[in-house]
Amino acid sequence: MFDYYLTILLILPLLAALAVAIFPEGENGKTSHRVATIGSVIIFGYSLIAWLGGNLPLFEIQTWLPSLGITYVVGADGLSLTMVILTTYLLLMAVIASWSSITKRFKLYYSMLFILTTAVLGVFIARDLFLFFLFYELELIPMYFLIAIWGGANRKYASVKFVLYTLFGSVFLLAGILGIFAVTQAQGAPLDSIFQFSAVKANMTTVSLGMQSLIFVAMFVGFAVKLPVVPVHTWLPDAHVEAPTPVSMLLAGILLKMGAYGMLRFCYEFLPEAAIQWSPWVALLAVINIVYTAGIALVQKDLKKLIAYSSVSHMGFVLLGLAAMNPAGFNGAVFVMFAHGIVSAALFMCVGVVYVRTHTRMIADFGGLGKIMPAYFFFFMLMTMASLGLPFLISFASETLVFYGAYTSNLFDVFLSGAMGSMHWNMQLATMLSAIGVVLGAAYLLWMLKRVFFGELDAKWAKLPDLRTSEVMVLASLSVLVLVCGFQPQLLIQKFEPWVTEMAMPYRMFDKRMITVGEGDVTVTKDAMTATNNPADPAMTLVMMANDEARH
Amino acid sequence: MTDWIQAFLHTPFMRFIVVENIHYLLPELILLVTISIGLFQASGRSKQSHDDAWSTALWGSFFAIAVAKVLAFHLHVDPETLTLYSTPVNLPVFYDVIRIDLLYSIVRTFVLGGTFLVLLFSRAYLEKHSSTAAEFPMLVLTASLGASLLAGANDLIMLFVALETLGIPSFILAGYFRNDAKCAEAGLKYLLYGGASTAVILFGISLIYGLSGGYTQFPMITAKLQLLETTLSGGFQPVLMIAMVMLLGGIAFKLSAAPFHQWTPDVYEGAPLPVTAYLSVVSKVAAFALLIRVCANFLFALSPADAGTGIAVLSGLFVVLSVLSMILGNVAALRQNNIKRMMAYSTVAHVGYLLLGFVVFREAALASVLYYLLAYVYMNLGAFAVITLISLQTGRDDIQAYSGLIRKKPFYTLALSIFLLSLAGIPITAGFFAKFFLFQSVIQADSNTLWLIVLALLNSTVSLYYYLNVIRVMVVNEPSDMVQSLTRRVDAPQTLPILLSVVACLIGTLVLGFYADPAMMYTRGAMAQLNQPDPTSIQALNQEIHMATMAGDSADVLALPAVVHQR
Repeated sequence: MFDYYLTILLILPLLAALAVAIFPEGENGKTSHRVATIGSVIIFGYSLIAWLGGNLPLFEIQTWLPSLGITYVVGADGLSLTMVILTTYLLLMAVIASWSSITKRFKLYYSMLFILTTAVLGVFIARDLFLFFLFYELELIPMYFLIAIWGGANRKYASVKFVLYTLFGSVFLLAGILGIFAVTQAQGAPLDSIFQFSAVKANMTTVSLGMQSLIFVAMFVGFAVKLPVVPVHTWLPDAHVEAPTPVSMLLAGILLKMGAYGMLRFCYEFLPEAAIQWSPWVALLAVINIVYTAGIALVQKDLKKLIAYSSVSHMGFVLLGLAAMNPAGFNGAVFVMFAHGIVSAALFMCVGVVYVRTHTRMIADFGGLGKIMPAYFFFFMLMTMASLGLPFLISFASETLVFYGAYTSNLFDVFLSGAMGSMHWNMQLATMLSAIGVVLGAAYLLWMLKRVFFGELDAKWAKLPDLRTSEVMVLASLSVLVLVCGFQPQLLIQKFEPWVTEMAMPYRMFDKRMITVGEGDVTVTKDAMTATNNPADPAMTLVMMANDEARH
Repeated sequence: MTDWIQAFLHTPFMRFIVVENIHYLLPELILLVTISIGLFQASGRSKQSHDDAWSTALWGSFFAIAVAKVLAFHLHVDPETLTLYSTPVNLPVFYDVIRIDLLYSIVRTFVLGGTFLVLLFSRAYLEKHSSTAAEFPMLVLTASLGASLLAGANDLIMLFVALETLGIPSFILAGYFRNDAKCAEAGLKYLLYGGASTAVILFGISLIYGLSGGYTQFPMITAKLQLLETTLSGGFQPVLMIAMVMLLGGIAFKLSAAPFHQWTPDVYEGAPLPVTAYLSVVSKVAAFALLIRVCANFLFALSPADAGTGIAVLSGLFVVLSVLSMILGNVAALRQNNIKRMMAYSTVAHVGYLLLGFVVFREAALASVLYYLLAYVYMNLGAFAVITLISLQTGRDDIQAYSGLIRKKPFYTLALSIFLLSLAGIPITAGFFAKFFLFQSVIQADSNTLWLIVLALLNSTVSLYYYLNVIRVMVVNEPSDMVQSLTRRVDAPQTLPILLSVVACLIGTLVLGFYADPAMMYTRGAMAQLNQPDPTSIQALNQEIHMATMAGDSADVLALPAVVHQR
């Protein structure tokens, strides 16, 4: 029965969408809510089978368009399964959260939600570049409608911005895919498997470093829009502010992970040499992401915008883990992806709870809510603490792993010298700078807590009801995960660790290399290999002795 | 009984038909007969006679497409190995004025299928505008006859005759509602621009005629050009360059490629909706078939190594046309309020993508162009069919009239959304695959085109904005009063044919979106066949030069055997 486990996993949400569309909405969408909930429970349950270790054949291959080298290949390793379980779990949470926050056009809403799920699941289990891209694009349309129809006042702007930014990223992604195709075909790779991940990984090892580097950049830019990385992150706060609560949960919880997942798979698994070459820049982007957006979050007046910026900041930790390029860094990045998925979903849920009751999200409008909504206060507090990295909560474990990986990484060391003096740019410095982001994170989150829950209670909020059952269900369930994974991170890490560590293996063969930038004499760091490059060259020069040796 | 059939088949007349391959032109003959009968019927005054003529036209075009399909399959399937396109037919008709090959049979099915679908949804529209006369379908069928022959034209004169047979009825159709000022303007504009472009094409043709030394058949011209290139004056002929620029410019007018696109928005807006659909699909497909054939015969057949600079310049011209069309089309479409104008600019943009396939001068890229055309027939005609349906009920063409349509007409909304998303290139639709294959094949041929591909991709990002805008208005906005007044019940029987064409296009768009392989095989086969040298022409040319040598005429004959062996 489970021969087509993964395909069925893709079809189940579509069936759920169909079921929602067929059944009448019922009074206030009651029937739709029920059907959707049943559907998402089934999907979650189904995905649990593989997660709990049922011995399933998690790889399917089917010829599709042989004349073009396109195959239907789906497969799931530990990383994919982790993402799949996160998706189906957050889908269930989002559906429950929709009970109270969605008030119109229920059929269309749930149909879109389920179609979105299929697209996202497809992205995580595709094992063919073309198939991956297909699902990656497919996700756009339902998300657009989810924001454009059920969003807030400025939803038109936000939804269009979301679509255009994402599509802009896809352009680079597709260019990268076509680049891989052109390069590997020129090498004589057989057409029938040219897009498959395994073949791509093998073929790319013989591609010249310049071409690898170009493809790396194209793909990195493509996924950077989704992650998002700082210069192209502005769609995210807009989309979050306008999106309804459940959609925000999914957006932060899963959709951003598609970018991180793609980066790990394509940029770092397929193109290790190019990744090393670009790692100083990636680390720089990571630090900017963490610190800059944390600084922006500090000055936000809108509760949801604050959470959105903190979301971007946390995705910077994923980037930092990737830039570390060692097992701890990669595992930490994946763990942060999962942890952030849980915590940010919960935080957006919390914002939604208060917004449904008061129709405002301005922090200044609140104060003293802790007195009248104790249960809400409890969950919000717990999630805030998780977000700022309190020990024994999920984010602490994940971020510690990232920091450990980053600090012990020594794959690059850029020596910058100029009129102002000189410095080393390496992962140790990046790690230390990123730590500022943690401090800032604690600052904006605690300050926000203080302004919302302590102080004088505004008289107009005196009658606010505490959490409803459905809200408690969502928040309690997420809280359990936050605590369990905080105390026993190994439970989660062991699910993906072997595969993710495997991804970091190619980086072991590279020694530490040195990059100099700026004028002046060549400076050889103490453990770099002999470096003899043109000292007068002001541009960045690369010493890649180890690499050349490996090549010859 | 069978004896009788046998006897009939063995009459000299039938033998002549079979030997001369005239039976392959059956679809065109059916069109001709349909037009004759229809015009006869339409000469009556009563409404009944016009109704009869309409039915004749519909049935005639249906049979034409059906026969064309059968013939297309007959051409493709090798009965022994049961594989597709293994021994494609490549037959001359009427002394090689028309060539029956895969390109012809594929494009013919596009043209005739498009015609049938357009006729299906034009009748109700015309009746709504109180025009019941049956000249309309006759004009459409005449234009389609020209379009179909254009795809198979293998001779300069045939090319021109077919072009005019397509053009003249199109001018009349564009100005079909004489009393409507905008429509009359459209007709006149189209006539003036079209006439000028035809003149330019004619000039190009005359140059090629002169260059070939008096041949009109394409294979002979090709052989002669190759001869010229390798032996006589050496290298690429400057005259050929001028001729190609002329031809290219003229065809670019017909294709409405920027900067020759100015007539497009006005004509599309003014013309009756079915005519707009016809112009943007059928005549574009025919013009692309012409461009493919012209390029294959006069450019690609020459060896690129020798051709050097001339080819590079022409390739650059394609780049300019393509880039300008993409950018102008998409940017201009952003600001349109009228859906017909928006579709006009979107057509310009799509022509830009399609011209990308010509930049690299490779068969695989042209095969993708052909595939793109197939997808384009379905998605664009489908979009126009739904627009016609909506226009019939609301009487308006501005996008705001579509507000909240999903509440009243969920099927229309779904269908139009799928067509527009397909035009934007969103999976899993025909348009997505078409774009992907096109870009893939172009980059496969020449990886220096990466910047062009990135530009095209950025353009399709822009295009999603205006396509999505229509969808947003339909799905997100609250219904306007006019939409509120629409009824939800099943539509009147006269809209049934329109729905039929919508469903047909929907099936085409989605099936091509899921399973593109067979269609891709056909188009690849067609292109592989196009580029093969034609032994008979080379032989004929040899013969002639041999005669000339006997007469002690030419000095450059010495190099000839090398040419013949080389091919």
